[in-house]
Amino acid sequence: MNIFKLTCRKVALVRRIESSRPKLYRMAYAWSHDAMLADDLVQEAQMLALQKIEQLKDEAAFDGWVYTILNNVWLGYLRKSRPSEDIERIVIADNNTPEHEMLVSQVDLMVRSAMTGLPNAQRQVVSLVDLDGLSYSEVASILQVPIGTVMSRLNRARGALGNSIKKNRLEQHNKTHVAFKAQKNNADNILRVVK
Amino acid sequence: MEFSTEIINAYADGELQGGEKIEFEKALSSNDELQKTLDDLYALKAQLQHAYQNVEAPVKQQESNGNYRVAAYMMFMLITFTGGWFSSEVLHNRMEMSNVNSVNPAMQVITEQPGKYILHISVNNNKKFKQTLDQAETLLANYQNVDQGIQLEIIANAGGLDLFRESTSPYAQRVKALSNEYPNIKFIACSNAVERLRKKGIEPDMINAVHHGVSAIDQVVKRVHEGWSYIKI
Repeated sequence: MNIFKLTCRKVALVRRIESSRPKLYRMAYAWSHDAMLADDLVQEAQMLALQKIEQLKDEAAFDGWVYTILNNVWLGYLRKSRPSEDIERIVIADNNTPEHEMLVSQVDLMVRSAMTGLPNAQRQVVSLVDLDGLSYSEVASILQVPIGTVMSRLNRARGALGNSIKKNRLEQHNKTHVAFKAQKNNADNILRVVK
Repeated sequence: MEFSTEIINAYADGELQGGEKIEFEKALSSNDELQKTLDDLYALKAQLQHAYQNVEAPVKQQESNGNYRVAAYMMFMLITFTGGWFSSEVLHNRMEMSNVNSVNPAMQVITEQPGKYILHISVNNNKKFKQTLDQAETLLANYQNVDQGIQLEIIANAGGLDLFRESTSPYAQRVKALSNEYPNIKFIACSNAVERLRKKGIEPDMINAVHHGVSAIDQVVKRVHEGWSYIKI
């Protein structure tokens, strides 16, 4: 390959690293549910990607490569911030502010809340498969686990998410029902007084 | 025929191939319960995608200035690439210049231009804090008698920010002393990391000599664009 082609290839890769920020951020947010932390993780991952650009031999593997870097940065953060916990099992706090919640629909909040209750290993698998449509083999390579582990984690994650969302919906429905009944009683009382 | 939930997941994710897929689709056409399970799965996948589709990365300051970032990254790459052709010579010169024993092997040099350096620390590690300041002092000392002098920046983000905080830095006095002694050294705290602390309700209590107001990645890219050498600690 001549110098010109090599240069063009690297320019294209640097552009891809830069333009991967939105998808990396979305993934980092789904893993951490913390906007500022997600921004830091992505910044660190992009810097590492720029440093390691020579290591990427197959451009078709770009997505898996940058996600692998992001995963390493994320696991590094967890190891450091929660050294006594098993990384695979770490659940996270939902760091939504009230202002933030106003911008997101109730259903989306319910789904995100269910995600925070998943152990880290399951949350990562389901995010990679469902948010970015990565294949099982890509996810296995990013997280450095066998495909069978990806399948079982995905299965458990989806089961837990489905149950959690159903439970939240039911609670929401009951709350609305109670509020409606209280309102109706008030209205009946007022009517009685008026009559 | 019964299918495990893992196989149903695999079908929904487009992972089933050949005979397995044909067999699954055959069962699907005559099994309402299986179809219902699959529909629930598709609905869950759609809910997940929807829940995060509007999650957007914060807008960076430079993004409003046209293609600054792309141009800067391209320069970053070109310098890095060019560096690759004479890296061994440059590294050799650098080692001679700054005393072989004082250069930490863990440090990664991306590119090399004489006299202008940006050192980047992103971890909260006392040993690395010390290495950062040692490296800065070595560079400053080596360039003391050189006509063109040296310009040096130390930038900290994430855990590295603790090097620049009064309440957390084991080297606060040394940072102040360096700042007083050398007018050509600048300490910069990543604005994202500072903001993150504030959002957590923690006052960053930066050492007086430390500047902030720019993110680490933007500053690194800017400096590399200007021909500075980037050293990750």
